[in-house]
Amino acid sequence: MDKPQIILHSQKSVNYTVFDVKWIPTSAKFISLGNHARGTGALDIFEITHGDITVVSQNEKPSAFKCGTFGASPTRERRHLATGNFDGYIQVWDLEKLDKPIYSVKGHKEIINAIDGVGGLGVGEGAPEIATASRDGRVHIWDTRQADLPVASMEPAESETKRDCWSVCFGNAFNSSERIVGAGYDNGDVKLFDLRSMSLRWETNIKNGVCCLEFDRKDIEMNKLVATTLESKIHVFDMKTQHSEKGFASVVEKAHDSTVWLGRHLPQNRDVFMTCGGSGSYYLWKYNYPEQRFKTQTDKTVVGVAGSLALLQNISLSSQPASAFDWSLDKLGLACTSAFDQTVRVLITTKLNTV
Amino acid sequence: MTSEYERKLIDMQYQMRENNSYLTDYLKDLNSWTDDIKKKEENLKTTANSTSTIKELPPVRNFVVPPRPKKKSKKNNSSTKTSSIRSFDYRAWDKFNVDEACAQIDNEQQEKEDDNNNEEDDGDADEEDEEWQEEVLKKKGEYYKDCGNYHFKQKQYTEAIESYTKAIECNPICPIYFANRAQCQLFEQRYGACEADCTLAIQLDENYLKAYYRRALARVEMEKFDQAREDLQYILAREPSNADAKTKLAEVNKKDEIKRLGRIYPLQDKPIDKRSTKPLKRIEIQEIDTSIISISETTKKKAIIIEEMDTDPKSSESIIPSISSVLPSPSTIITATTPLSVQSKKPTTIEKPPTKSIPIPTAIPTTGFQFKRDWLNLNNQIEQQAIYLKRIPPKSYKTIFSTGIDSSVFSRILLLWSNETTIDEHLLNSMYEIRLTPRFNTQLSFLGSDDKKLLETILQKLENKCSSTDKVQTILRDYKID
Repeated sequence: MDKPQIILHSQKSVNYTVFDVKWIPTSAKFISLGNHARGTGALDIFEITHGDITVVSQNEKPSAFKCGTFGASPTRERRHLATGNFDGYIQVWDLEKLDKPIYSVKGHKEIINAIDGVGGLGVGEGAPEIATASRDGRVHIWDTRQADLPVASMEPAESETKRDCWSVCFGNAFNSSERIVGAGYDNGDVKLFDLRSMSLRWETNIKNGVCCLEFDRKDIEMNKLVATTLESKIHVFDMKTQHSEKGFASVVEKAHDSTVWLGRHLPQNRDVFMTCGGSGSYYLWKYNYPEQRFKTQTDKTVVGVAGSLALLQNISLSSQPASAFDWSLDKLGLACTSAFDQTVRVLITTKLNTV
Repeated sequence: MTSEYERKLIDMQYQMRENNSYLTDYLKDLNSWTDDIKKKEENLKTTANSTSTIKELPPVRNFVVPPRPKKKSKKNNSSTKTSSIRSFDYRAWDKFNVDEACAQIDNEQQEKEDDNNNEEDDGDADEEDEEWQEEVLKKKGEYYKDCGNYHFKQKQYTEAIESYTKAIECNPICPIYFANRAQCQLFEQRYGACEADCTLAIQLDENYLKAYYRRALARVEMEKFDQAREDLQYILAREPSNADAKTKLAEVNKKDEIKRLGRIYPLQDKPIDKRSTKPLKRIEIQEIDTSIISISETTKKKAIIIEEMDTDPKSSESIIPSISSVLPSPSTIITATTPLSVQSKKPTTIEKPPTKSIPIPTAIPTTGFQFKRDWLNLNNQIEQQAIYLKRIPPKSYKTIFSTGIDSSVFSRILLLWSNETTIDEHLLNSMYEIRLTPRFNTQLSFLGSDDKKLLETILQKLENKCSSTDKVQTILRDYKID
């Protein structure tokens, strides 16, 4: 019983559907983004105090929010939240002045499904950039210094059918010029775009719609990529070695008995991640590396070798799917989560330092 | 069974207790942490207000200056082509609304009219649009150049060349694209294309030294050494400290030399250990002036003329100066030989071409062989032989003439002695020593009449001069002939 324990610390119910929760860096607060029944957006700030969650502020905005990120916040002092909403607007908010966004652009024709930021919070090099994925099949990259137009954009060709892009993530940002954007689509496509050479680096199809895509770390040379899909599948790709035909090696795990909505890596340990399922269950995994991460084949090419996943712990907290999950950057094991049962919860995971 | 069950129970209870303790520890920790972090947050807020350190950020990706919104909208209207629906795209045709399309076409026509009316505005707008277009093209060019550089680093030279070509299409006045393409072509060994590209780059920018260097490299490979040298010298004139140019120039010169003179190889049959370790160098052969031989031939003819004129001293005298004038170095031998030969009526000596005076060997002979060799070399040059003989110390006569004196040598020596004007110590000594050579008496008895006469004159001179000493007495006694 040396396994880490996942314990519910506290919970709070709200009167709107919560789509995303995110910790505010360098604080004991977190924000929740959601959609009121009347169609307006909700942006609430909560704080944990001595075993309870207290509401700090509640804001209502004209349009419902779908997702948000602090990843492109320039510094830790000035916390800028980038959000995507149901009307296709990308907005950046300064938490000190929430009455008006500091940057707003109608980036997409349809709902923005996912958003990710890189280069902010003093982590990594290069300019802070935001990536958005939308139902109109496009992935746009934004820089807050340029208004109206995306800095880069990945679109399907004109005659091709547009597939919903469900998730987006940044990775491989180990210097100021290198960036890779991963995009997951509803038909199971996973595409990696290299922003430096503006080309498609790799693509594959994992048969089921990709709900969440995440690199284990954004600011290092790409190491692992987790893709969680419909039909309770979790794919972990080893991104160190790319073969010209076979691409990247991967390991597949089945869990949750339902759609796996999210996969989130622990900021303090990149081999540990939590997956959240459609049945309200949370699974804590550890990735074990193989003895040799690559092997040379008979035709002298090098192909990667995937490792194995070990389930550390699991817990079921609600009957509804978990819509959001976020590890705290400042405290090991502290996490906030939300589910479609209109509650926000704070979880504690013990013994993570001995994992 | 029960003990196991109990044990398990105990274990579980222990675990639960442990977990609880962990949890309580964690919660305590959490509480303290929340307090800490709240304080930190407060500090951050205050510091954020006071200081604002802005990090140096790289420029926005793919940055292009957007045009003014008014113009942009106009431009969009004019440039948006109604994307024609492909014939196989059935879904799109299903959605195609005919009435709407007609209305749109009507609108476009109206807009065009509007545009024509607003020509004054358009004048400026066009210019701005052009500038904007140029900027876009420049950015595109830079982008293709970056692609090219990326391919170049990956050693994919054909792709790099393609990228640079695209860059040139976008922006044909930037010399950097040409020079980069030239470098790729160097690696692809397309030297002609490389040279052409470098020339273009230089036309765009005279001071682009890289382009000169690459052109020189291409020219070297094409064996156009003179032109390569020109390029390198131009670079060195601009940048004297350029080490690459210097080494390349040395290489060019060496290759040029090899081309002109051909490679130099050692002899085939020379053993390897005896061959030279230093690199072989070609030495040009110089022909020495052969004019002496021709001169001697002409004088030969002149000598024949003398003979025909017989013993006419005047004519011979007149001819002698002419001979001496022809010869570059008039030697005293000629003057000596010709009167003698005239007197003795021996045309052979006149006929004999007066040879160039052979220098007296500097080394004093120590053996008979050396003496003989030198003596024969000197041949009939009496003066020289006299000087040569005088050099030899008389004491060494014994070793030199250890096998006896030759009769010809002896007669010559007698002649030399008779020519001596004064009887000196050296002469006495030499005479003294010579009589000690083996078979001296036989030589004496076999002397010719002329030689005997010479000897008599020498002895008489001796007697007259100083007959008192023992040495002289012995000489007189031994050399006496009856």
